Amino acid sequence: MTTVSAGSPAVELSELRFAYRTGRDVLAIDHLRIERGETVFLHGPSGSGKTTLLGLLAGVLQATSGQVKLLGSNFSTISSGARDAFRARHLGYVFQMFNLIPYLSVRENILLPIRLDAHRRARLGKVSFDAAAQDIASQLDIAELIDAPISELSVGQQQRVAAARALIGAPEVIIADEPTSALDTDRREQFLALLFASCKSAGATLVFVSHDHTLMPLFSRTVSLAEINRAATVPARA
Amino acid sequence: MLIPRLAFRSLRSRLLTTSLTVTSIALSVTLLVGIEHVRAGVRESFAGTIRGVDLIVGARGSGLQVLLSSVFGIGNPSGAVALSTFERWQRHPAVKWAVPYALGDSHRGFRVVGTTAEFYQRYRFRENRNITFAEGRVATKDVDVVIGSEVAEQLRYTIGSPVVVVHGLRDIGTSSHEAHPFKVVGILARTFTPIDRSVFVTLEGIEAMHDDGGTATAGEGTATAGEGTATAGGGTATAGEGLLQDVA
Repeated sequence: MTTVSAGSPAVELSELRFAYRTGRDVLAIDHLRIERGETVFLHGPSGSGKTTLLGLLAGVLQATSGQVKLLGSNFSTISSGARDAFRARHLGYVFQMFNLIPYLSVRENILLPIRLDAHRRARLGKVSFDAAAQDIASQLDIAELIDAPISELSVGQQQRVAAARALIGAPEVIIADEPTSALDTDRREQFLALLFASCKSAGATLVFVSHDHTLMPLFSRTVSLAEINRAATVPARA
Repeated sequence: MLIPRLAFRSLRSRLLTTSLTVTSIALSVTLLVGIEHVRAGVRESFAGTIRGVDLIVGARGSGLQVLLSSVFGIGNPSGAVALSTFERWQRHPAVKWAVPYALGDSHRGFRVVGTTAEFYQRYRFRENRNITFAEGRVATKDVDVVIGSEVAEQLRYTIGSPVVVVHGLRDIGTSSHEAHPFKVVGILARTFTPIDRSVFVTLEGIEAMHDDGGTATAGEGTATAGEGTATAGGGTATAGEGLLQDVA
């Protein structure tokens, strides 16, 4: 089982190359380093490879060549099963399309990460599963929906469920792919407040992808994908 | 336990589709296994009708007809074989035993077979089982009749019941041998072969019956022969074919 080395950066990419099939490189990043506790705003035009990069950071995709290191663990050298286990333990991912499980309730969706990994469960301390779900749900204002089936939720509510699922168990790295796109202004502020608070209290690192440039000042660092991605000089496929 | 539980919940949320899939798989497997089973059973049932017989000899004509009319009781024999021919075969050095099958008569839709006591001893079927008697004994006298289990059941015959034999395979009364009434002396145990639907008399019985009337020729039918010694067996094959051609 891969271990997290203390003091290593949250994310370190070197000589990263990725192509979906044996074709043109989608990503070519020489170097990227994100320290622990940073809140990074990642932006780039549509089709520039933002979601692909997040997939590589989460261990869902494997680099064609080069190194992807998270919390000191080298993703390039471990099996896909080991990457899945790492992700369950140390990452919280908010998907752009939510990826909630339709035949489970809100509560069951939120509890999935801590059911999948014992260490993550342990980080919660002595609270019961239900209490933990209730706690994070009320922070995101979806407490009353806790037993509702996913199919009955609005898009905004689903997005908050996805966020709750990513935040539970205080993971070290949180990756969010357009997490506020379906939220109204009030809810967006509420959501971001919670997000930053969770990250701060857990000492977590946040990688946040969005089109909404108005949010940029809230983050400790801004990364433009177009600038660091050498493959972006070729026009992206639409 | 989480993954199995998730899998179960996933299936349950699609209960109709899941049930249909399971049902159609179950149905396919049932059909496949069932039909194969029936096929094997039918084949075995057919093949197991007779065992331990090397040669079935009949009049010149279709070999299939000889087989069907003798062993399976289907259709008419192709012609007549003289009793002297049968006796010549019986005496042949390569023939261990021979059983005559005199066909052509019937009783109320069941065919009548004239044969010797050797038949009851030699006939084997399925996994080499013998004919056994549920009641009574072998037919020895010319008025004796032994009936198969289905004949006894359908016609409600017991030991001592009278039997009138008719010429031909159907009960259309072309020629009834009323002058020569038979009596049931034996009832065979169930064999699940055409024997159950047969009525057995002695050769003398057939002769006596036809002497009294009707237009039947003597000794119509076929003969079954048992195996000879190992070396002679090969010889019998070619010699046998020659003999068959000669039989008028």
